[in-house]
Amino acid sequence: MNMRLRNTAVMLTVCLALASGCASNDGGSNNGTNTANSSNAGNTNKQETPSEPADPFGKYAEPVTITIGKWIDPAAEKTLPAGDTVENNQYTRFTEEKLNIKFDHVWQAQGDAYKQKLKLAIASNDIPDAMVVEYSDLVKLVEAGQLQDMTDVYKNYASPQIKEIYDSADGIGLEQATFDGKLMAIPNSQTLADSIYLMWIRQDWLDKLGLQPPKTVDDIAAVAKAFIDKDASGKGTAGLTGSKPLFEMNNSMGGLDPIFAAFHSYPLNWLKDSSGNIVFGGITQETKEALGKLRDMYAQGLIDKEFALRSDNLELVKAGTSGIFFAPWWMGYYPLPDSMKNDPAANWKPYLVPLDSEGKFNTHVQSPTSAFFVMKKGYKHPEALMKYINLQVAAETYADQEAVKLDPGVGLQNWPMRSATTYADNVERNSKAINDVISGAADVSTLNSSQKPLYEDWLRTKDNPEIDFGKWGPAFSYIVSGQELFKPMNKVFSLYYGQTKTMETKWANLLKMQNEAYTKIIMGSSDLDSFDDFVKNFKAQGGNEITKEVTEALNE
Amino acid sequence: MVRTRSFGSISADVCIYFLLGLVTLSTLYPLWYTVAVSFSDSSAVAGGFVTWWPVDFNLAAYHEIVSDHKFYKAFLVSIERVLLGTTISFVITLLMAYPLSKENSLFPGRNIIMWFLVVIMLFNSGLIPWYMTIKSYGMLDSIWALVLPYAVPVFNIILVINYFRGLPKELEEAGLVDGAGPWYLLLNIYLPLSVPVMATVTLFSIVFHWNAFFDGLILMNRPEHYPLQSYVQQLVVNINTTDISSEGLKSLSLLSNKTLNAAKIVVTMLPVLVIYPFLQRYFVHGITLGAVKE
Repeated sequence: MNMRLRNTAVMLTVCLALASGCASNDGGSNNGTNTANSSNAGNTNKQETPSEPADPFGKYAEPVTITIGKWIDPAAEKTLPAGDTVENNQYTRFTEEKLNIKFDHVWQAQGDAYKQKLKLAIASNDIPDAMVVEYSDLVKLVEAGQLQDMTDVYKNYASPQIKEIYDSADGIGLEQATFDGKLMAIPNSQTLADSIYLMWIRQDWLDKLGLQPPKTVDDIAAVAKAFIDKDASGKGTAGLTGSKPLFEMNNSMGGLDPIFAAFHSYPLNWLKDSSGNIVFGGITQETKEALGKLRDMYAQGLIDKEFALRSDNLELVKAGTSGIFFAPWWMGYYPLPDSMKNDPAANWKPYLVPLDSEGKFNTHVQSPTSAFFVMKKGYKHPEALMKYINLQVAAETYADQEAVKLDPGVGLQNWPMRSATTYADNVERNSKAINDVISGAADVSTLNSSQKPLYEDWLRTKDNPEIDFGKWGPAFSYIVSGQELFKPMNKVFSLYYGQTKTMETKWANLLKMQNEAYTKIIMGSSDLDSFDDFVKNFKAQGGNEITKEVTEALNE
Repeated sequence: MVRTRSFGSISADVCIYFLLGLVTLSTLYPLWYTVAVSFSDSSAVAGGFVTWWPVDFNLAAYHEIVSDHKFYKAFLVSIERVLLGTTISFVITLLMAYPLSKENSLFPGRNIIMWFLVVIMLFNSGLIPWYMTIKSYGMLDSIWALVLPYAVPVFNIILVINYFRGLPKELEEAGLVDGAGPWYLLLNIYLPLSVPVMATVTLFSIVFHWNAFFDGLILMNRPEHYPLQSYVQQLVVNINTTDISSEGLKSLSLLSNKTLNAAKIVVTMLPVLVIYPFLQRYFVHGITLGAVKE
């Protein structure tokens, strides 16, 4: 007994030692092959470079391997045909076939886990060859000197199309990625439509009560009041939705941004005041006016009483008790189907309102860039990343003829490294192309492979969405709400989208202070003039310092 | 003897039962709510119509789980983790607690080891050093990264030490007189006598390993290596729409499926719910016996 147990104990220890040993061997040999690969690739490069002119789509003679941390999108993963994986699918094969570039996933993660893995990789100085990072990480990487200078790569290898894309957003992305005159990353380029919030309203309620669609903030208040007083939903109608953050630069649903904008208040933008000084939009007099209006509306019960407490601020929309909210063009994807399932009579219509006193619609606009492609310092083929981006964009826009063989049903996030790199007005472009066909101005054959399914889905579902909400949603979003985006509007860019030194430590607190002060004013727990105290505190607790830094950055 | 109770004492009891009932309800309700959501129609859930009973009762969510191979994979990883982790912790707890329960005179250096243990229990190194340590051992992306860093559960060891100290010394002395060695004493005298405390610490271990999710997210390089709780955590964290571009929108309608997520949580809860009643009878006994040192 005694002996037997002792043996067991010894065995167990040995097992443990062996197992952990195996694991470490594994890691070791992986690293080994990686370095072998990249050094091989390096050699071939040295032989080729002199004779080879810069070709944005040039195929490598020898395979080039890039290690990456892969952001997984579970929805895109589901669209893969049987047998394909995120590591081996039509997009990876296309990249290999056209460029001879392979991607080796050193790790994969989704959502917040991806961000955490990325931050750990940066902190432990163990980054893969290429990554997609957000601005704050880019700054860290540049400061730590971990990145490859991409200036020449961009100059020599960026395709004309890519350059056109950056031009469509006035090159703001490239500016952000430039540090001390060197381009340290290839910026992505997102569509600006995501930051333009339309007013969504229950058209069936308007019709029922014989009301006209509202145009100004006062109209909206009047309509909301009518909805509530006459209980349009029949189960206790609530007012406008609000959201905890009140306003956000992009893709936020149910916030109150357009009401601020109707007063020429852009609480997150950097603006020029009347005397030409740089000022933060959150402390302007216009913002105070807007808050005064919102405070009145809240006091009259026209804004959801519990907006600051809800974990899901669109719950009222989905439940069919709120009939007005502000949100981007893509509501057909979510949450309108939920609302329509709960209340089959629900008929949501988007309008580009409220208009300001001069009859114009104002909106903030997000930075055209939300993420950056970066390359690890010392990687032998920095241009491989640029070539890959060229190819991906050309394929997605069908500028590359061969891309028609790619099935558009397979989620785009299955490209090896993807961050939307597209025209700033991509939604409008698609919407116009399809609407032209519907109106008869153009022929169906002018639609590309991603637009055509939307057109066909629309014909099939426009009269009865309930047969397939999944198809109706995207088609409705592009075709119906996309049209609203053609209307004239005053797009207000922020003068500065970056991050200054002091922002790193103080900005989060200042924004929190801003949110608390605004929320209290709107909900009536402190009076409107407490706004002036907030402005004073904001300036004293770092606001002035940051404003100075931003001014300096803009003068450079 | 029949005692008539005063009105005051009865009403005090009523109040106490009422308050305790409320507390119980407030802990049970979230669980019950999750169960109700998992059996409801997803649009009704999104509209906030579910409070007590499922609305439009259906099993769609559970059907989907049954066909989700990722869920099974994660389940297996979790089972593997619990089995390995609990076994290793059990062995190490037992082997450390026995010598450390002896006096310093019998085991010179015991106090130093105890101090060492207490220090590592109270202070930790922070995320990045922890991550780099595990990485430099080459354990990233392997099951051992989830098991070995927690192999020495100091708190459990201290519980067991105190329990051992509470056992009559005479038993051990009698064994020594009859020629038993330390191994024999530990395995044939101490272990059988400490079933309550060992069951308790094993339960701690099982629950700990079953519930841990953060290390899985950080230390695993592939989602298919995630243990169950990491996998589920990915599903239920709030989706921040400001992070996704409009092309990622499809995932929003998929991820906002609260019904499916609730069903996954229910399934995830089951194993621990099943194990608890069997080990619970030792639980109170074990934890208090270890608590007081004579």
